[in-house]
Amino acid sequence: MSSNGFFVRTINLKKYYEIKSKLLRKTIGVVKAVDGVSLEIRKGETLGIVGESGSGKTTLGMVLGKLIQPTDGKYLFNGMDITMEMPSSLKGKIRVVFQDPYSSLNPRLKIKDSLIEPLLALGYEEEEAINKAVEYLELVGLKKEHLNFYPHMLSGGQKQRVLIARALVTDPLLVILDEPTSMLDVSTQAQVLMLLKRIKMEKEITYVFITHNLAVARYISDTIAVMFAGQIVEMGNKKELFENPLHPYTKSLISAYPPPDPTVKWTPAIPDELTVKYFDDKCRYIDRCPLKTPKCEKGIPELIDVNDKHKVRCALYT
Amino acid sequence: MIPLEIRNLNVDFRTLRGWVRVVDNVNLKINSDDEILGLVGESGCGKSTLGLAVSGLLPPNSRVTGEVLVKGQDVVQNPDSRKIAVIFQDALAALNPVLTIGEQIAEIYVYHKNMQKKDALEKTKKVLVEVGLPDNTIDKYPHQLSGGQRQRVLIAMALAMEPDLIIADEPTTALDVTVQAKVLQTLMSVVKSRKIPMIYITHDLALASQVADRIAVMYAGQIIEIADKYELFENPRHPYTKALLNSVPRVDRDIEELFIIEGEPPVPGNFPTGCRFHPRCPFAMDKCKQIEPGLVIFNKAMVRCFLYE
Repeated sequence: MSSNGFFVRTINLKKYYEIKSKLLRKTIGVVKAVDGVSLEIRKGETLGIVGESGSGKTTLGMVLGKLIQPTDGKYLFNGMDITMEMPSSLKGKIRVVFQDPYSSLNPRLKIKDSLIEPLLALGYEEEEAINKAVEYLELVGLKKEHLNFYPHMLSGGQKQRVLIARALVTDPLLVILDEPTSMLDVSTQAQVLMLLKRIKMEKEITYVFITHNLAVARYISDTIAVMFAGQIVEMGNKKELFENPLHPYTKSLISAYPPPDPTVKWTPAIPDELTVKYFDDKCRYIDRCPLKTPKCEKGIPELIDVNDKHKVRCALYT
Repeated sequence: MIPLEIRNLNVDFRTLRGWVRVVDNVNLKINSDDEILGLVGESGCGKSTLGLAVSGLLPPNSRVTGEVLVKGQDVVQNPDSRKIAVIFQDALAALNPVLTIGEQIAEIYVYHKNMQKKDALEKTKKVLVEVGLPDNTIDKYPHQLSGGQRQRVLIAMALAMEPDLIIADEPTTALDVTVQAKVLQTLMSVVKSRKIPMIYITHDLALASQVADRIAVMYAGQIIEIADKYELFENPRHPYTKALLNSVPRVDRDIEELFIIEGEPPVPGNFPTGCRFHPRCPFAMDKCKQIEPGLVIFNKAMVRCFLYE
């Protein structure tokens, strides 16, 4: 299967977790954390993945970041199939930044050691690695002096900058950012978002930006994928997606955001039932959907193209 | 009678480096029983500490000076007269895991209202229904409920007390946005219909613009601007308020550039001299570095900034 000219492409990617009984360790169920995700990302583009907790967005990020193996499906990167194994030429080319800057740095290591560790693992000499660490520390707006700091001496925003520097220091082509600003204050969040945008332009990196915050996704992304119950339910160019949302879930998600303007009345359209069920024989959103029809009972709808910039998984549009 | 008046309130904490001031000379008012006052600021600005000081829940290593008048009664001097309910962010920590929801709420009626257990359970069912939960919730344990349901239980507990004031400290921050929207709609409608004044503490100005009637913005332990919400959004005066409004991405429109406030908010014990915002302020003048500005009063607003003197 070819990558069709896309830089990152996944085909029907799945990650299932088995639930074992406590007593006999028998499999009593399966959690379909990621269930058939097919997506494409162009080089230098930012794909935003949004969804509520439990939608599978973080698991998808871990699969894309090569931190866990998918159960099924294909993962093509720059034309190579990396589903099962990473060729050694790609070491350090896919990196991940996590949400919690407080637990992602080893408290006993100086910033210098945290930064050069990935480079030493790639076979760099220590001196060369330190030079690179300084270069990236300055790129993220910190100073050479910070090399000798311990994590507790930095603020949350500074720690997140160090984590971004650590991810970038190996010159990656793809960076997975999993809620990188959700633990930061708004003023610090703005600084980090602007920084990420600037670095992307300078370094031509491709981002996958995972967030529960639609406003942040709208700011940082070119394309946005909305996940629900392990599946992409809508994906499109951000302008299309926000100005013409199609899936009832996307619409309700957008309505849940209060307009930052007291003169605009906030009218969230949220269904009463907010559970998530992983149906295999009908639309997974059926319990919440205000627009459901008998058609929705007939299997999970396919993710179909509405136009060349917009896809939706909903029986209303088939 | 004015439901809440805070006069010259200071809160200090005893630390290894001596007393550190966290809330500094706060004056606030809630003017009517159906008013919601939004208290907005970033972490460390003192908004939660202010809420705890009003509700009397500060730890022993703290010192409160000034007056907090709830319906005219000073609750700093007479803590026993305090009838203030607090709704916290983390419902799982606020609820007792080994008691049913019914037992925990009925307890309030038994102890505060001297009711018989049976009547208390009847009242409990009613208040649960009022916050949008089924009445069989009384037999559930906290772990059997979802995050949104647990937060509704906290709202019910606050109502059960029939308080003179509710303080809601980031009540929906841990919830998904869809759940947050529904819980907040419930909270707003019950406090308005019961006419209970509320302080709504949040870091999110957009939420404050929808939930609150007036908004106070805190920075480094001080109120730096307080205004009617329409006035605050239409005509923000303090450079920090303006920056906050423009540094947040929006869901309703594309923004190319976010406004950046350089640096980080200061931490208590290390507040700058003069205006506390001056090191980050693009309009800082010489006097901002030395002299602390007072509150300048406008028709529907007050602002702590030399630009308006």
